[in-house]
Amino acid sequence: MTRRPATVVGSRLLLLPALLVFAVFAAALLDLLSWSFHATGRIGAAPSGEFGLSVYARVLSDPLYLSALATTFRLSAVATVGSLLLGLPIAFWIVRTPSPRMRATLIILVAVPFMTSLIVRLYALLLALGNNGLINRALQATGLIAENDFVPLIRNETSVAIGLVYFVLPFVVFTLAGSFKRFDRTLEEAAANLGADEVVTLLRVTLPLMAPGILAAGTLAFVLAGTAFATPLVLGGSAVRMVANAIYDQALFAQNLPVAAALSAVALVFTVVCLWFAGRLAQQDGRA
Amino acid sequence: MSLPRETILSLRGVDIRYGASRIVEGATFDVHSGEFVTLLGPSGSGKTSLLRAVAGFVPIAAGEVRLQDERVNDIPPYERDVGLVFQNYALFPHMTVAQNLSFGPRMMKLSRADTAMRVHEALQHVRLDAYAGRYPHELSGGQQQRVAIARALAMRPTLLLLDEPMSNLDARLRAEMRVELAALLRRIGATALSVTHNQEEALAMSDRVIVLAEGGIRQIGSPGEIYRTPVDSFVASFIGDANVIEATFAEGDGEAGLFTVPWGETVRAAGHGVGEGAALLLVRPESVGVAVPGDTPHPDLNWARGRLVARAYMGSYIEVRASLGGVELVAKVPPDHASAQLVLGDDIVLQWHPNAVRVIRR
Repeated sequence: MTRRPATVVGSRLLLLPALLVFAVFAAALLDLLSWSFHATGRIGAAPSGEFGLSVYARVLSDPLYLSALATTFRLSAVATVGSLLLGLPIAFWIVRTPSPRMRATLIILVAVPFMTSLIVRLYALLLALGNNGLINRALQATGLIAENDFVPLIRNETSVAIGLVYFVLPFVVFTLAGSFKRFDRTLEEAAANLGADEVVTLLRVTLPLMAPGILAAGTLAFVLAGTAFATPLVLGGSAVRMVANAIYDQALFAQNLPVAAALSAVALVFTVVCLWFAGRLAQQDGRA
Repeated sequence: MSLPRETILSLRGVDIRYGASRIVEGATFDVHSGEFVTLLGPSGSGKTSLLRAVAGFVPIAAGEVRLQDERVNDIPPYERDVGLVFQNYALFPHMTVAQNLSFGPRMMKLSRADTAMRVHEALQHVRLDAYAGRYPHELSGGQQQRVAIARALAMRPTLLLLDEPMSNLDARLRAEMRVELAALLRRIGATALSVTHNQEEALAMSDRVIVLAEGGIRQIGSPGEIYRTPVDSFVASFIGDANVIEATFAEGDGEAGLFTVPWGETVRAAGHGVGEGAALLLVRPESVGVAVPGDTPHPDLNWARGRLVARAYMGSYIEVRASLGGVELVAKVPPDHASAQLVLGDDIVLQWHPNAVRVIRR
């Protein structure tokens, strides 16, 4: 069937708004990148100083920025592992619950955080984790720690790790649940029929076949945690600086836009490399 | 010549319930060593539930399942010595053919050498020696089915269970695999319980057929028995084509009974000299002949006059449909039969032997 040119032009016109939005985003990103190649500059003024890689050299040698990058990597890894360990059983539970009503309840429980402001949730968590908060009082009441003692759970990496797990968990659970739903359960029956008990079936059949879903959920968790801004700000305060916080500080307080731009570029490259690596792993898995 | 054979599987009064609804009620049957038994029934008859109950995937509400004289009601699936060939084959997609086949022997903690031997032997049985290193998605549907059979056989199970084994194959392959699978199982002396809704498959492959309907067993017998002497109208119409005629017993002598039929004549049924009241008569279409114009009625045969309402050329036979005062009868006649000249609406005379008439339950 041949189409008249007018129709083709007409249907391509429909792409125009999307292309326009894309162009604006791309231009903003390129502008940001161009800032990172200048030595000095601040918001509201044109970039100045010599053109080159001097800012990158500074960012990648200054212990302050390097520690922000290392902290981000460390906390993202902890949040990824933590959210997968918690998310796997929850996703299993949701998908395998026979009662539709129970399943709907579980889904809503996981989805509620999506509908609540992150800032509100973080301050609630701050109250619970505080030196006089719910958790420390519970520990005192059960006698695990002394009456006037407390476990420091705020303004440190522990609190930020807990907060990051809390932040990415719903994403992880929904990604995993989607992948579990597509899993053919007769494969588990086949394993049982061939003499494998529940544990062997889980380790040799279910989890290996879930690998792409687990990988996707893990990648999502890692990228989300790595770009977190509010969580380290509220729960870590000045004690924990992640990349997003360092960028914010440089851009708005230090008025050093080239450093902020260079940090952004480094974070962006890192995210792209992570996604590329996850894609490669998924492809290998698909071939096997 | 029925030798006393070992009973491999024995079900006694098995009930299966799902919530409040009863899926199977009072199923009682045995499967003997070396036998191929088929559970045959329409969808919803409970045949698959019975098979899954034997494998241990469906709990039974009442009754007893015994495997080699051991009660297995509460034995988990992974400790039952049965090999199940799943309807969708359920091959592990992340394992090669050889890895799929060695899964069972490895779970049995067989040595490496024994496992390799079992895998090799099972692959030879299904003629897939060359495919050990392939992944399931690299195989055709027919090859996947044979891998599934080989995977079950590699465990050398006491009982092989087959869930609709031919349903995912095309018609040609289905007919081939019927013969091949039956021959293979006979050669290695396997005992098998199969499930199907396809009556041709059940008749062609089985030593015995168990006909199920609405969760109950209607009849158990050899393919010949259930075809020739169905116990009721359900079995008669489900297995093969059937003319089932409402009739009333009129009179009888020692050899045959006379039944009045809806089109106002009488039909002789040999061997049904004693009876009373309403009855159902079964006449298979292949037993019904069409009289050629000019034939004189043979006194020993049943005759009926009607009108030709449909004719379908089926290749090896012609299906002729005649209306007799509101009742339709079907006859299968050879393709070169003289009745081929008749046109729709013509008068037609059907004839069949009293020996071909069976009286059955409603």
